[in-house]
Amino acid sequence: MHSDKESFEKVLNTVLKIEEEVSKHMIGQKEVIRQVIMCMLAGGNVLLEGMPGLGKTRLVNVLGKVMGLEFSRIQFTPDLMPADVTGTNIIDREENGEGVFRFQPGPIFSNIVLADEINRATPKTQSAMLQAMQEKTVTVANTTYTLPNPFFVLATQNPVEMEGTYPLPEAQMDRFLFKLNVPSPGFNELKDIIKLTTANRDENIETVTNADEIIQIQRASKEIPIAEPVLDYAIKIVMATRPDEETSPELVKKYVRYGSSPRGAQAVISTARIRALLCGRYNVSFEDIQTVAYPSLRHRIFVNFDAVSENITPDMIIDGIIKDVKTYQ
Amino acid sequence: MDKKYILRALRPLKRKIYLHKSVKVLLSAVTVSGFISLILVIVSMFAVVPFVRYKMLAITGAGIIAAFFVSLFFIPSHERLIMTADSLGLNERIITAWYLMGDNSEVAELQRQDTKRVLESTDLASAYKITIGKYFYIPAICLITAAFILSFVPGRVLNETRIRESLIQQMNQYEKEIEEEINAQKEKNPDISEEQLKQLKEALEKLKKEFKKSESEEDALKALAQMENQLEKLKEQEPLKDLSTLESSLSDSPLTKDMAEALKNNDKRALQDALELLANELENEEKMKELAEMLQQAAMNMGDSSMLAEALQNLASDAGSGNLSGNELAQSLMELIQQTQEYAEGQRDFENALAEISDTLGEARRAISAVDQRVASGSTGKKGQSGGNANRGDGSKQGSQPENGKGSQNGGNSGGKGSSKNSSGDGNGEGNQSGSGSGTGSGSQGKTSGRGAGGGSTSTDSGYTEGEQSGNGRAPGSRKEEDYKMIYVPTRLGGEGNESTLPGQKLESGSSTYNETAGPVKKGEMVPYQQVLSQYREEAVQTMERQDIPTGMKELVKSYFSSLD
Repeated sequence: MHSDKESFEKVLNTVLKIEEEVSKHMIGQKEVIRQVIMCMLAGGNVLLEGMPGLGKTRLVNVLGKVMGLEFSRIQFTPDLMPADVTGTNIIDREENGEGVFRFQPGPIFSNIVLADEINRATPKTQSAMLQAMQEKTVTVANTTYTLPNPFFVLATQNPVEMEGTYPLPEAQMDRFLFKLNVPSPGFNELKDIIKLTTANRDENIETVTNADEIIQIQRASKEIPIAEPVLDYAIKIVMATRPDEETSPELVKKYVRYGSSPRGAQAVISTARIRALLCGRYNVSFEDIQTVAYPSLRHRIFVNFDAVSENITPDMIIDGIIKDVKTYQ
Repeated sequence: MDKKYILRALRPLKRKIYLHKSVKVLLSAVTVSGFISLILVIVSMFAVVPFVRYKMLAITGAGIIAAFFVSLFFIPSHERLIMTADSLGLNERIITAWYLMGDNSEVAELQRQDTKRVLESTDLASAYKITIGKYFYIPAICLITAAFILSFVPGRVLNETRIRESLIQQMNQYEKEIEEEINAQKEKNPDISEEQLKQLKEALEKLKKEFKKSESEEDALKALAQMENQLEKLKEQEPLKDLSTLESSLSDSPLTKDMAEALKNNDKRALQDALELLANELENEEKMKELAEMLQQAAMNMGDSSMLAEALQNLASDAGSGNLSGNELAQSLMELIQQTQEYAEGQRDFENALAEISDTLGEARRAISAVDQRVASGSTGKKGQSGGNANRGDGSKQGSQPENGKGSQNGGNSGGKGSSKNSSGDGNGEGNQSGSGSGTGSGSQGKTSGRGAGGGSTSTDSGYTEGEQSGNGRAPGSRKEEDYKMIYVPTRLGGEGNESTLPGQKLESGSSTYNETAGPVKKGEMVPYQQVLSQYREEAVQTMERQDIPTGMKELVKSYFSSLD
């Protein structure tokens, strides 16, 4: 795709319109909305962690409509099988009466997939889902099917009910570009939610873009320039999550078991570019890096027992890293 | 948009950042200066530090100047400037544009346009706030204020400090006056030669150096005395006198009588004729020798420092050894006389100049020696310096037994320079008197090995020795005196009496000199000590008031008499 000034300006306008339109139909959660949009435009998948009833499903629904994308929802349960997700071959009868196997696509064949309570499914089913997330393809009976483009997975998990769940392994957590903590609404937000959802009103969600434009945005965002000192800063932040690095802060050395993989750095840079676009800029700033560091790295930092016992969260670790790493040498 | 555009746009911000850094550096320098000033002020309370407030000002000034130069190193670099600008809400637009300067892609162009738009719409210099932390200015203010206030608190050495300050002022004033006097000599005495002027300036430079090193009146007076001596030496290089001596010597011989006559009349033509005649006569070897001897004698009659004497000596040697022919000798003699005459022409003016400079030096000497009196009259009075100058007063020794000696005795110290009867002498009496008397101090009269009065500032009163520690001066007041009962009072010479003999024992080592008292001496008498003490003290005080004596020496004499009470 040739990038000209008009197309960049169009991309910028589209991104801003998406955010504006989604915000109209979602009460509160502005930061979550923005971060979900950032993650999707960067071509990544999101893990949403929060209590039930916080509007996660609605968010995905609205996003799908605003972006003009197909949407599906899978409720993960322990008895959910991989074929229930990916689809399966069924015997069908042709016009001439012969029986043939025909692939029946599962709910994963959609642009936006909401994997609700992903940690309730067995690891086998989780793996099938996560393979699709990573490779954007599904293989059934030796036949590989490409998933629609763009393809996003928005998975949710309940942080409280741990009984009967299968927590995602570290390696699979790494497949998510962002992990977002969905906060409960405040008083005013809750009031607005009640007014919006308990009265009869026509909900007219405007579609501001389509799949092609989303792909165009994804490509354009990769061209957003990043200055050398800003890139260095992002890399230093990611490296500082590793306890075996000499330059890591004491906090990391004391409480972190494993730091971020290179995917963390990729996530930081790609989403920082989208954030720059959302802020109406054609360059990445230090602030972009700092903002996206939390959702990009919090599920990639694995704290040790000391941290758990002292209630040290990955976000606290990232706070310490951001304070410690200097923007310029 | 190029790099120049960015730098031009950031120039006001750069100035403000530089100003900010400079203020910080300045405050740091003032803090350091304040600290040094405070230390200096505290030291000045216990040690003599003249003009401490001026020094504080100088230190602060130096600190400010140093801060100016140091701040030049704090001119923000391009990267630092861009970084600061970006931090003022530009969100790394400038640094990205800077790095993308060679990139011609569409997005780079868009980014530059965006940066330019933001740069034009943002007043970065106003957005940059100069804030100075309290850690910068509070220490600076506190230290400077504390130093300033403390400088008004009188310390233990207040009087000494004032004396030193007054001394420095006097030295500076007279240094300037002497310099002006020397500079004015070229107009006042136009015949003074450049060489002579140069000699005067050299003497002045030496005086300046000595003044810089001077820490007390003694040092300053010594420096003045040295210059006076130097001027005296210059005066001794008297070509007129040398010419006169030469003329006198030449007139003694018929061979050179005409020359002498021509020289006397300052008749150059006649002198030329006389030398031509002399050249003819010098063909005779005898006469050549006679002339050589005469020149030799003339050279000997001149002063050691005479340049003419040296030249004549060389000429005589050459003539005596036959290295010169008659003609050559006459020619050399002619050239020498002409040079001396030319030099002598400026000598009279030079003498006038020397006299005027000597007068100024005399004034300086008087003013400097009266420094302490002026300070004392303007304050509550000078504290006694018990022992403060004692170490310098080697000559004022006291022994366990009084010995009777006149001031005319010269301390026979092998290393000492103690002069006894010299008001401006330089004898500091530093010798250790290795061979001086065994110091049994029998109390008998005699020329003992007692050293002359220290510093040469007293007129009499040498000859006191201190028991077995002969030669080592002691601090006045540091020991209790013996009970003096009777003292021998000599009467003036010329009166009736027998020749006085001063028995004593001379040892192998060291040396001693004595003056025999020729003529009749009236027998002295023994009088009660207390009867003469006040009279002696009074005379000493009067003498000190009359003469230019350094304060230290005065204190020494006062202490001496105090110790006798």
